[in-house]
Amino acid sequence: MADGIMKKMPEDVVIYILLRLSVKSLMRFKGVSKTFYTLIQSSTFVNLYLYRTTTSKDEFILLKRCFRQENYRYKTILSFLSGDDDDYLNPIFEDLDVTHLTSTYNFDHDQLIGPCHGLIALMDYETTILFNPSTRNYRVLPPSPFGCPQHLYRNVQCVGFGFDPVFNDYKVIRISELTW
Amino acid sequence: MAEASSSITEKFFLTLKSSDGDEFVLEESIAIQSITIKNMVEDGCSSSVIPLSKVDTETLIKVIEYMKMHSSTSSNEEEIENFDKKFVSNSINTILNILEAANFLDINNLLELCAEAVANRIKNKTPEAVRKIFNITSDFTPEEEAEIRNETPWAFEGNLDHSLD
Repeated sequence: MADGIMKKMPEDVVIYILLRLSVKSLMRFKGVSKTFYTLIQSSTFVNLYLYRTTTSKDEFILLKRCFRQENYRYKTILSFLSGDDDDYLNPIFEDLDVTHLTSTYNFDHDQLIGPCHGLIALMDYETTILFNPSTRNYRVLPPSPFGCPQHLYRNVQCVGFGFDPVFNDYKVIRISELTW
Repeated sequence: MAEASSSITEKFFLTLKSSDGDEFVLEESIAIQSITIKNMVEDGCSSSVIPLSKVDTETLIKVIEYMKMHSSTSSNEEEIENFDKKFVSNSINTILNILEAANFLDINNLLELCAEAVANRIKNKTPEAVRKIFNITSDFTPEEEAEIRNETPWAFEGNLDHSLD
């Protein structure tokens, strides 16, 4: 890769610097060059970043709210709050509208599971969303292959979210009971 | 030959040679804060001049200043703290050079000090400013760059710093 940074600076020195930056700075610096972009997104760098020393500045409160909208549908909003400066909870960034979590069901049953390696799983009776609060990215997981026969309801009994080091991947489980 | 009884107090000296060819004589006990130099001494290279081909004179002077201050006996905690504060107020280019030297010489606390300092200086900068500081030419098309911006528009909010130091 013909890139100035590698000619001038060894990659490990650049990594040393980048590990001390906030996610906001890192997301901005993805635009520096292709090498930066690839490096910052690499699983090697992400893993190093995950185990760096964190401070209370890295902590925040995640608040999930549901609003009832037209046609009895609900909308899910996530807020990111920090209580650092005073007695008030200040948003550290804009609310996130999780568009995929809209359903006609009562959202009290929604589950927030985690965090696991900084990720949170949001789960309702059929949808699962993996959410990274640091980058504000979320991804909808493919639907469960186990269908639900008509006229029956799923009653979620138990959910789980974790990392499988053997397969180097995350795993989500949901155990539900079918009821009338 | 040093006798066993006097070797405790006797000082050994090393000669370090910068990439510009300048030689610096430094006490061994101070110089071995660098693991690279320590390994060379243990391998028996201490009798001759130690060439540091990756470190220029200006940078080597700063690194030696740092090692002298941080060698255990002479300085107290407050002095060291003030020294470090002043040390990282050097220009960002100087700090980057020291950082690279610290990496090559394997001086862990100097590496951490400089990495932290660089991170603090660049954290609010624009990608353009970072490119200039690191001497990088962008290999993105304007379209690609706009796309990255759109991936995380919030990362570009706030007062961004365009300065190069």
